[in-house]
Amino acid sequence: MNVLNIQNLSKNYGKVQALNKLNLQINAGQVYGILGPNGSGKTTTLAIILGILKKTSGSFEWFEGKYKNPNKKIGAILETPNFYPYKNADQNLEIVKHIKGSNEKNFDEYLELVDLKDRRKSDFKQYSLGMKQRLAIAATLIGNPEVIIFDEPTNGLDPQGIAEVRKILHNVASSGKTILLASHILDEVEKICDHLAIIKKGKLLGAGSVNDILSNDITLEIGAINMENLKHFLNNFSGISDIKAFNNFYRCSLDDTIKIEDFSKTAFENGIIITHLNSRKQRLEEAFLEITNNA
Amino acid sequence: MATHLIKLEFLKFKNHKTILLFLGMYIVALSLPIFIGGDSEITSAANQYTMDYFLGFPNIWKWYGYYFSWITFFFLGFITLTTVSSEFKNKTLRQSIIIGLTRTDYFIAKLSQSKILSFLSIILFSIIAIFIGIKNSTYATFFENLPDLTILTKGFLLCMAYCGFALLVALIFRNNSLSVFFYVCYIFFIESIIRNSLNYYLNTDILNYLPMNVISNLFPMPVYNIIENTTGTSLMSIDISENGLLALAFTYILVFFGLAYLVLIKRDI
Ligand SMILES: Nc1ncnc2c1ncn2[C@@H]1O[C@H](COP(=O)(O)OP(=O)(O)OP(=O)(O)O)[C@@H](O)[C@H]1O
Ligand SMILES: [Mg+2]
Repeated sequence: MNVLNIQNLSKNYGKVQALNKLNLQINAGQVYGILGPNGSGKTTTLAIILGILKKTSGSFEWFEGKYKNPNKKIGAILETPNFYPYKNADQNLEIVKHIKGSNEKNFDEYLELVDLKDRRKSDFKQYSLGMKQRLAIAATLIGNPEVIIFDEPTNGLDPQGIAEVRKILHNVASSGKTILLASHILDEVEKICDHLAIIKKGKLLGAGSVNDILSNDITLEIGAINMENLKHFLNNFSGISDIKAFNNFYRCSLDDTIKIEDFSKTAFENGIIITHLNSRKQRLEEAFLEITNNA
Repeated sequence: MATHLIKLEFLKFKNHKTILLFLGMYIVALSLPIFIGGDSEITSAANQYTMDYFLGFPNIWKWYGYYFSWITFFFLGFITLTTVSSEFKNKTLRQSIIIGLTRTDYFIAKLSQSKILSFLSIILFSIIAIFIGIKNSTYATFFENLPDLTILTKGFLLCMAYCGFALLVALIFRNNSLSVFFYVCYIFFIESIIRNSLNYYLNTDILNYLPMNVISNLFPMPVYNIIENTTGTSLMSIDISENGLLALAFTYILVFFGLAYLVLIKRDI
């Protein structure tokens, strides 16, 4: 089932065009990452589809129009955890439950998941940032939503907090719910998501499954005794592309139809003595930089 | 549906300290006149009138009504402003909408909140006025002095008008200090400056029909009546029938809430 269908969505803030004809399709069960540098329009997109911001043009539809008020079927964190500071965790979750019209008897299960059970009676304003973020995650689970949206869920957390939140996200993601995760942290998206869209300056640069976006090409790092000759050789070897120079090696990508042993044999035959060779699959970071730089 | 939304407002604010404090102060302020009165003479525009005359029936409705109109202006206004601006400050309105409250729901909740506050206010108003009246009247019997429907209607419209105006101001400015500042300034300065200067230059009194002047004429300053009675001149700034005044006040209430709804629906949150 199609969960979210965004068509040609645009948003202008005065002269700033934050979104430019964005298209996005998300299906049930996908763990979908929206990846883009700061200011690329991730939060703007989410705020529009959640009914907070008014779009300038374009359209979007939730759940193929199945629900009159789709937001009740969505749990979401947008930018910051927003709660009543003078209320404790239980009281805040009670309000969420009241709005959702759901029927949880208590919130033990959720508070357990985010490890806040022993602080449930403290007021929200006394929480650390990490605790606030974790309470927000607990709140997204209330009312058994079909979709959960996380916007920069690890923003501002220390490494331990980041690890904890990621572990919780992993748990939630493996429950089979549809998840939308907006982030500028590649590592986060790569670890959690199975699909992703890359946006920059409000434009969609690419979308698809993580495997599709990562090319099958091999990334090679090569050093040789004579770097000048190596450079010449790489430039003329068909199947090598994207050559970048580093201190004492070149990084390039090798067409996945060519075997490494053939490559190194040909290099040897051309008088190149390789001193350093490292080959691996492309990482998301490289794909991301490649896609965003070519845009 | 509305009860669900009213319960939501109750859940949100039942432990909001500032709002509880304002509510408490509101009740105390409304009750204070109980403690004035006695048998001393009052020096005022008309010396022949005794305390009994002002605080006994039927004048108590006018005097206490005038007092009531000031107290509601401050407290119902501040309470309404605070309930709205605190939700902008904490971004909880944003979050409520994200998780499934519609903007229309929120509006209905605020409208219901205004109706409940106004209703409770006029009940308190009636009880306290009757109490003071009985205390200061020798001849009064309880049943002869129940408030008439016009006074209750006026009181309700007065409260609704301040709630509606405060809701509109809060939804426009969002920030608490700014909206309190504008709310107070509009009534004390902005409208009267517009009214007096334009009336003077245009040589008309049409601007006396600006909203806050109409609202404050629901319970005008009672000495006007006394002065009017003794001098025969009219100081009332609005020359309109009782029903016309009620209709006009009601129209302004519709305008306040209608505009508030539009602002809520149209703007980013
Ligand atoms: N209220 C606003 N008024 C004017 N411009 C805005 C507003 N909110 C966002 N923008 C602009 O819209 C663009 C997109 O911002 P947005 O917050 O959607 O980016 P983002 O991808 O979420 O970035 P980040 O990773 O920093 O959270 C930016 O250029 C930003 O400056
Ligand atoms: Mg953002």
